[in-house]
Amino acid sequence: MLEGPQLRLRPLAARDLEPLAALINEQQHYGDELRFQPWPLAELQAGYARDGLVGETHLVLIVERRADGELLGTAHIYPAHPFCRIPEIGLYLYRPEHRRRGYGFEATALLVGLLFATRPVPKVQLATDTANRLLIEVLTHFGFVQEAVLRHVERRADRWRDYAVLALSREVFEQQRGRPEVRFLLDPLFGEQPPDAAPAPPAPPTPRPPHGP
Amino acid sequence: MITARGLTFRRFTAAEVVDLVRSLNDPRQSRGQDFGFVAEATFLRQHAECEFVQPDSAVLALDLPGKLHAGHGSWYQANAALGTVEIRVTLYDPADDTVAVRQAAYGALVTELFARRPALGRVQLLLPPTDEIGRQAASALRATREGVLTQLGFWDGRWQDLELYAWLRPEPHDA
Repeated sequence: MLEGPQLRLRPLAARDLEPLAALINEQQHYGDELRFQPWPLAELQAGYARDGLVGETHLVLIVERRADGELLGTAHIYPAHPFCRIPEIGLYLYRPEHRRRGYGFEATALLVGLLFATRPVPKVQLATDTANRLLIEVLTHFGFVQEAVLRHVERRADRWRDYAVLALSREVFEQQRGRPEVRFLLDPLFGEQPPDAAPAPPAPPTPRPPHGP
Repeated sequence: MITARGLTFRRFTAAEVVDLVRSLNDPRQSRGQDFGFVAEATFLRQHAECEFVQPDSAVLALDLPGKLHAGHGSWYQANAALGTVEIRVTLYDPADDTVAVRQAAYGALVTELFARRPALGRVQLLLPPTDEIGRQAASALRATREGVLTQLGFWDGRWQDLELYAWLRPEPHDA
């Protein structure tokens, strides 16, 4: 389980399946920059029965608000490419009212912190629709670098959509860990004590991410 | 079977699986891929099940004029979340690995994929920056270089960059 000041990221439980399927399949909440990928309850149940959606190469976590336990979305880790060991992360905050609140930044920091703390990889990757400008700005602010733009990945609303591939190197990540708004999130993962005994939560980063890819 | 400019992609025979496995386990030929060690028994079993041809992927033997199984070509899903499709071509003998052969092979696979999958918008290719033959072949086929994915591959004991190229489905007004 991963915890930040606002969020908790944890493995799925059986009680999550029905509300999660309902949340994912609310097509009306998907904006222009978010691809609607329905996940039928039966498929979700089958995946959960198989391995809890926690495997050697893939991981699905529930993103919930710590204050009230509200289900906000899902966080995903999977291989960036079938022949490589680099992990890619995906973050989905499904409802518009859960975006632009700093949740995306916090969840991203927790995910990349987990990966760099547990895997000997030189970078973490993420791909998102190029229309998702706010997320790209936030990731860039975090230290991600845009490495490529994949054109014509999918056709949605009668036009082709391009996806940006962004990567965060371990070297940059180590530099980012020194920043107050990141350090307090990541020190628990790395077993280090924060600089102050009881650090005040930092101001939310600006701009805030709308949601993940 | 796919044919173009004298070369042919076809299904593997069981006898050819040994050479395929040897190629995949040869670091000089498998650059850009990180399979770990490939077991012959595993590949023989997969060949018996589907001859390496599945709905979303295929590994095909490549015949050149007068030379059977000179290499292999493949397509597969490059990213599960995005559904992007990637191709790869390997020639076993460096003497066979020319810009013309690679150009014909890439062209044949790209044409086949766009014909088979009407909703597919792009076909991509990853190349090590040192693969000058692949780069020239891709450029000759008007692939676009979309970026460099740093430290994505692991071979020769270190993380290495890979260049990303892509072909887009021709739009009606391009014809």
